[in-house]
Amino acid sequence: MVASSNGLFSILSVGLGISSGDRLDAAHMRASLYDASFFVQTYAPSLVERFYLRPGIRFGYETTAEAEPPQAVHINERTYKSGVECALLYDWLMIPAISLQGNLLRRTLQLQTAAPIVQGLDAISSSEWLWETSLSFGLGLPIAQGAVVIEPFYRRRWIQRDSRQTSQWGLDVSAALPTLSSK
Amino acid sequence: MRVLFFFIVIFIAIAGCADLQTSPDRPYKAQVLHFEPQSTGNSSGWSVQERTLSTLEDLNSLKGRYFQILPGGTLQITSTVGSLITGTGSASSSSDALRYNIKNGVIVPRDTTTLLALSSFHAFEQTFSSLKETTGLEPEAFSEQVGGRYRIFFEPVISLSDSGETAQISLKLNAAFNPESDNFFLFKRSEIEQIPLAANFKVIAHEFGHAIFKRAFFKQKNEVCLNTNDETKISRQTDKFFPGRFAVEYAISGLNEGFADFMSAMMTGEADVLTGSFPGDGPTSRSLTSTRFTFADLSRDSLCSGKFYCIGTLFARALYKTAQLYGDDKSSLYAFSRRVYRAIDQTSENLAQSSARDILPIPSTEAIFCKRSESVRLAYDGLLTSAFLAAFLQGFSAGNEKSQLCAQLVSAFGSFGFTLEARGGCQF
Repeated sequence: MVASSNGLFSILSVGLGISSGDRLDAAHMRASLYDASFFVQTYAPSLVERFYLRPGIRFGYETTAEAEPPQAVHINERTYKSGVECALLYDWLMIPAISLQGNLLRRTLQLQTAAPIVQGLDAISSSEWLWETSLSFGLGLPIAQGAVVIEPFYRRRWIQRDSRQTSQWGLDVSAALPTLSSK
Repeated sequence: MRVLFFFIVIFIAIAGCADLQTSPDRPYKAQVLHFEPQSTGNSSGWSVQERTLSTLEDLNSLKGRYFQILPGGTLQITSTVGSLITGTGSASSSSDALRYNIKNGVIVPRDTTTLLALSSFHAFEQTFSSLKETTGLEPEAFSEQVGGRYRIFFEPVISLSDSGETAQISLKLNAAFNPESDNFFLFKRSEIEQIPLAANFKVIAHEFGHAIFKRAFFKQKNEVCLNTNDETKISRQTDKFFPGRFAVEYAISGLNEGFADFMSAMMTGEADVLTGSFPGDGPTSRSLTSTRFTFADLSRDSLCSGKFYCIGTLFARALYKTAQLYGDDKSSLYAFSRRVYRAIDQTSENLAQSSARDILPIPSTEAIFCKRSESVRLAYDGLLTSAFLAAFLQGFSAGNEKSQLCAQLVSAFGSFGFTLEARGGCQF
């Protein structure tokens, strides 16, 4: 039974997502990224049968764990993100989806120092605004006739002024909000 | 509405492609890790502060007048001798390795790699700027001997080549100089380090000391000891100066390390090359101010674990303690350092032409087969160090300084490492 058979695709859904991935910088140093997000989506039928658009908004937080940072000096990164997205999906037993996202990132850089460094004025710690574009490929598993969708995905990211490789694997879980309309 | 929303998403996605960063002007100023000797008032010596990178010519490729820092390259190692390596390095062609902001004309790193790469550049710039004072050499003449610029591989990916098989390894906690290619290698950072070695001015000055030793003692030649036919090996038995002999001798490698430690002390003003990166002060500490062992103690298994660094530490301590004659008088200290360099510059010639030649032992079996001993041989290596020191001391004029140097060498090397015959140039 396809997910839209009970009309749930006509309502809002909310969800939580987690993802992680590795990133290599210019010196081949590896860092692990961990991301958590909250999103709101809606479904809209397209001109082609069984194809739907899924626009939405997403808010997230990302933290970075550098592999083997030296004890006395390194720069930590934390990122808050908010953005819009739109997916094209195919309504079937499983729900393949390809999604394009545009995000505004607020990245905080924090210089961490310890002995033997004596740190005076810190000119490195700062915050910056960045744009991000990402493309996701997901495969949703509808549960309870589509009331809940579990969607693992692969995401490829392009971030302004950040050429480090960034791809992630993740999982979105969304649940339809109750509606007053009936079939 | 749906179509409009879709195009809004596309527009927002494309808008992310804009990059409004502008390049700063030369001379470049950057936030880097900087070291000052403790005598200048800073209680620890280390801080992150704004410094001018006056010899940096191209920021994004980190190309300077005398050297270039190359992040992200690869290194295939065939052998290692202390912090001297043999291998082949290649650089990546990435032009966007550095990530930085420009604030009030100052380069501000946006990640750890950029901070450390800029700090490494600053440290190498400091060594080149102190070259004239500590050796009498002009930086231009020094870099021209390698075709214009030294290459410094920053945190390269390492592969170890052994019998045709290659394996990628993660070498950390070290820096190295490859005398065959005149390249420097700054290995990957580690959570065991405090200050990363790749950005530690004292460590970089030590590696730079190896480049200076190659010029002075080896005359900038790459004399490789080759495993040849039996006839050549037989002729080596009586040839004290066959090509490549000194490159494989345990004692000479140790003295090379000691000279590098001394150059680091003269350039940085600090007597212990590793403090700041590693805490602790073990029995074989590289500190030039302690006296925990002599040459005769090197045969103990518990000391140095067969590493030749300890021979170098004895040499470096003798030089450093002689330098204490001049106290805090920087001008006199640098003049002494220049005399040490000139003496090293004359050592290989003196070894071949003077009485030191007679002290020099005929090559050991290991040397003939181009193998470095894995531990000290007190008698054989003692004759090697004695011959070296005898030749080295000929570069000093008689006087209080030479007397003090002789006394320190006797104290450190004793009768095993500085024989009575070798002390002919000393006046007590």
